Amino acid sequence: MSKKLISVTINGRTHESAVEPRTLLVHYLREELNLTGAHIGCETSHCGACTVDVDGQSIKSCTHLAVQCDGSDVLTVEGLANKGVLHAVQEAFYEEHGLQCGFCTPGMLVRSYRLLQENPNPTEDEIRIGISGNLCRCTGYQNIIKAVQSAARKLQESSTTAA
Amino acid sequence: MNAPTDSVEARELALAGMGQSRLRKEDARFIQGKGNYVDDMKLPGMLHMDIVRAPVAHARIIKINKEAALAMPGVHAVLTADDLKPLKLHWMPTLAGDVAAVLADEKVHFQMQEVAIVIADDRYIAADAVEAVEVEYEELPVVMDPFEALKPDAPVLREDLAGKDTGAHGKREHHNHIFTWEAGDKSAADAAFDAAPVKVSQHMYYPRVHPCPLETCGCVANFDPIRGELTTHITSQAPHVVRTVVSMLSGIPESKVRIVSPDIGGGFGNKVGIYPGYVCAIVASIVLGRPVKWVEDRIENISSTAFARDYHMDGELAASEDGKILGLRVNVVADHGAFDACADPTKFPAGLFHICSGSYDVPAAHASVKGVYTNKAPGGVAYRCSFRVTEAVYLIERMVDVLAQKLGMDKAEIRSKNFIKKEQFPYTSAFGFEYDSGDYQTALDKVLTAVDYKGLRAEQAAKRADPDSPTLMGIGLVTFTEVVGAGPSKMCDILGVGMFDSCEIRIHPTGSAIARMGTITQGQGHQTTYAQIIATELGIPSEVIQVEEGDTSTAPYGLGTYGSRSTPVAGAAIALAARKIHAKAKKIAAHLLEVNENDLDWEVDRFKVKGDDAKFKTMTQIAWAAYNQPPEGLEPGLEAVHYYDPPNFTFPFGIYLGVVDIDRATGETKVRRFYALDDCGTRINPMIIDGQIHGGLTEGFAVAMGQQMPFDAQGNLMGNTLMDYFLPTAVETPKWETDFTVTPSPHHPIGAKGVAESPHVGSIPTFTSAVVDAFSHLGVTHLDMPHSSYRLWKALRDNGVAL
Amino acid sequence: MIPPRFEYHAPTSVGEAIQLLNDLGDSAKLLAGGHSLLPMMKLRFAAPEHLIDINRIPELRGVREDGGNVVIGAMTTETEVINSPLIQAKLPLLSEAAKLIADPQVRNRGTIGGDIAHGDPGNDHPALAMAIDASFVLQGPGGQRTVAADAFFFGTYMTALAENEVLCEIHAPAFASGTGWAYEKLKRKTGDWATAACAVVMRKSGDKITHIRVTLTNVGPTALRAHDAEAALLNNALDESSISAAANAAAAICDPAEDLRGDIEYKTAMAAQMVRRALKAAAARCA
Repeated sequence: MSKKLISVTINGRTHESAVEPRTLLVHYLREELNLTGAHIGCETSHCGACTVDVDGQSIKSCTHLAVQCDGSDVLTVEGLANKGVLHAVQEAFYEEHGLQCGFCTPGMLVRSYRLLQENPNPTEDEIRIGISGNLCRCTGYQNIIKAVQSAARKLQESSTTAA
Repeated sequence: MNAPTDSVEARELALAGMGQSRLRKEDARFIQGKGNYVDDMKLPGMLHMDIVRAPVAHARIIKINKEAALAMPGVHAVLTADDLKPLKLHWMPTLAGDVAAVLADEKVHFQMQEVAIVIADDRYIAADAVEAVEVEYEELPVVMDPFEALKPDAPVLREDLAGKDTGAHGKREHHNHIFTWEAGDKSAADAAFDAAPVKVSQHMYYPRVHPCPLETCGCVANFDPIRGELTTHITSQAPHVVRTVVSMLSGIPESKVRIVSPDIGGGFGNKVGIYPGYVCAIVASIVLGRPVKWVEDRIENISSTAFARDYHMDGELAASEDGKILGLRVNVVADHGAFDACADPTKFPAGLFHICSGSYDVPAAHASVKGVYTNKAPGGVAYRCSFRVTEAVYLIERMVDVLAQKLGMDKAEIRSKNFIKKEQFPYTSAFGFEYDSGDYQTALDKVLTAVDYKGLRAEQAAKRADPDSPTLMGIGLVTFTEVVGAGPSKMCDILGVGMFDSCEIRIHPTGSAIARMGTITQGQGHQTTYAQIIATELGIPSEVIQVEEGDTSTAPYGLGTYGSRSTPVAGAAIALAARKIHAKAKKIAAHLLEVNENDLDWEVDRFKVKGDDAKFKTMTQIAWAAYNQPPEGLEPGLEAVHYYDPPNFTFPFGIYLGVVDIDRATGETKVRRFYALDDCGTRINPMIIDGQIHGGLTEGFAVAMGQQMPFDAQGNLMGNTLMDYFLPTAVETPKWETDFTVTPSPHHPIGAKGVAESPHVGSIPTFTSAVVDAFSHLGVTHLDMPHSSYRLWKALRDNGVAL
Repeated sequence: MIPPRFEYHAPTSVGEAIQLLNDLGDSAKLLAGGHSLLPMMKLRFAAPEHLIDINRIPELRGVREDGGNVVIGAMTTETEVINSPLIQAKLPLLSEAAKLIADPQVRNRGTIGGDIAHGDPGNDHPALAMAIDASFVLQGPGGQRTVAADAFFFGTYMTALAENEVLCEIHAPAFASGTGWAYEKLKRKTGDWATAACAVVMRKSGDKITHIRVTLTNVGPTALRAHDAEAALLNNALDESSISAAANAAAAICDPAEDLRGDIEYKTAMAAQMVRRALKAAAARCA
């Protein structure tokens, strides 16, 4: 079976790799590139712990082949902070106690990031639906929702001050 | 607030110690994707292990053909029970005094049991190799029901126990019987029942469920053949116990075994036991002299690792006509699966089930639990159960509701009538537990007022009077006491090791500190809460107190984290270790200030000379002096270790009230309101407590409303993926309201009781109570879980109220 | 968790895709959104030797109007269906119903074409397509043909799509002004297939129902068109009597598989409930 050459930009850096077609994106990130933020919690595409951002969309990287990312722009949790300055979603999760064991957190963060890009001022219901592809066993989601609401406010404030 | 920086208030805030909702110290790595979980580890030369599992529940293994798998490029080894036999590792002791197969030895006892392992260059090749191993089975009749299992002509499951009519817990009555355990006083209970004017009984089943933490189980075993040392990173809630067991099984001295529990993605009791996968990975690493990683899939996790519950319970209450409980009798048939691998303290094969007299003053009680083998995966104690306390609380709370219904009494009223009163603590129950402290009535009053209980009952009455009401409304109330903090070593041991716990603290010359404990957090926030305890005890800001757990080479011996034992046991060890340092610090302070120790007061972060505020020494100053000018007779340094053997369990309690509306057309249930009041004694970090409560309530919601592990007649486990196993998303999960009272534990150094299992223990019967309450006007006394819309629709239809 | 090995092809035109399907025969499968196929491969229930990824074929994307029809490219994702101003305006049943499929991440990849072509009775778009009188444009080595949704679904995983054909487009007439519609889906949780679901498209003139479609999801080996239910409603007013008649008629054609969602009796009863809910909701939307 022939490997395929792919060129993928991940967190702003372009990587050229030869991958087996069957290599899942989540394994490519974790094993090949040592970006172990995206986690694996199931094999049936339910838990969302593997969520990353591909070409501006939240994707479950366990249900996506690395070869499908040739030419794509990928953002993982490791790319949220900017030169050591945490992104608003990361700050908000910390401040609102939106994590406990941390296993769902990278997927939640990357998903929340994209959710707020798509919908900067979501209602609580919209947040619940928006993160319905990300399971958490520790928090009961209550503080995660507060965190997303807080991040929304932070992002709106910074865009207002920037304007 | 503009208090001067030197004020007591300001200094307390600066410590961020006990009682403060300080943000967590561990978060930085998690929010940046830099956690260190087992599957994140890569070691040079590391190989991958995968497991060949049995597709059938009960069978003889006729033949295993490894050739095709071994021929695949990149495959290093294929091992079966035959390969483990010379090492005597094909079977291993369990935590419950039984033995379990590591790899199926001529016989398969449950579906998905481990039959062979493959070791390959990477996980992709390992997965291919698993498919290439050919196993021939001869199927045997399966036993999936514990009552069937006890019939005289039931198939023999445990041929390896043939002829053994005594097990670890006494006499075995039948080839599929494990133990019968009793507590309480049968003749006193029988006498109470004989004399009582009112008797109620109820059969109830607590279904088998699975903790399903988001991270599955796994390990990286690394045997260094040059040093003869074994290091294993492992998803374990009890790393020291693992080290001791691994040393015993492998023959490698414990001093050359290092077990590390790194970051763990949720435990919930799923990561206490020692699984065949771990043993096999360690064996493979020793045999091959290379690191071996094994991480299971979700299906493997649900199908083969420690399940929870599976208790068939018959409860009886005897009472006076005005609702005073006179006696309790409980009989349980416990389905343990194919091996008894329950993670219980050795002397308690039914865990702490005998807490089942609950929050009530029950004068006479008896409980009996019969453990049984079936063709299911082993386990039973897991999932935030506090050692069967989930089952016990469910039993008593359901029985009290049944009694209330029989007498036409309000469910809050009957509870008040039977509560152990505040003045009665410490209270010794009919089962011999000495409850440390409690004030149930105050808590109940608080909840009933907060939710306007009378208003809710009035609303329910109005809805019941309306034949067209589209929903049935139910109000569930649970007033639970649970028991945690295992435990006093005279009663509680794991494989002979007493269930103490430990802490060592070392203060550095410049005033920061490092502390290590024998527990291991899996998300409970120990790196923060433990630092907060030390901060308050020693006046050092929690921000500069490093907390480490999980590395057996550095952490003092402990029994791990499960059963909400960390705060009660390790938390006490922390406080007492800190107080040893405090005592030495006082001597140093007295020396530095040239006064007598008796002339000193402690205030927040310093020793002050009585009557002279200007003369003081902070802990930072004392630390420097400890390394430089220790007084005569004192060693340099400032550290202490304490091993704490608790004098008793602790008894957190709670009052939970839930309101549900059941759609009469579909059986769908909306949880309209859920009010959870918890009393865990002293509260170290309210923010973290609330987080734990939210999580526990959500797990309880899932258990009560949808989780199940159904088996068909052939022994196939149905619904072993997340398609069917109900893990609620944010859409399904209700909003939780939390509240608290504080009734400290008198025997605990900081009065804390532990809390994280209470919301799971208490919420599950609350949901059942609410659902049953919705039907109670129709004469329904009980409905078994899960309360899925399917099952509730059938109940609606059976009771003539489906739309 | 790990799929078996396969060769990977990423054609950039429909013609290229068809050529590959033709040459590789039944050893090949099309990869659309991948959220049906890849999970099956990861569980090793499916092991195609070749995957033909059709995500890079521009002709399969896009939503446009053509005369009075809305034309939806087969590779339009569920998210795109939800967000398409054209579908929201002209076929709002689809944009609203798509919100009930899976979760946001899955919707970003799952496609309307894949949902239709897979032949899974649990998928939602077959019933939706029948309710909007859709037809499907299929392309194969012999050229293009159009099959009405009503004539496309034969059985579980069996459709009119030949092994060497590609589903290219979904055509449906834009809703006339005043059209009411609804999709009521009972499920155990987010991400689950329907326990039972019903799509309704309705038009009224005064009190009388002048146009009606009633279709059902996951209560048979395929999506079902409830003709008798429609007959009970057409030219009648929508009242308790006609709603009950329709619900009963729909229940009569149900043939659900018993599983952990429920037994036959429950699923059938729920189909009837979803019919009731959908009829009322659709009527409320009729201008």
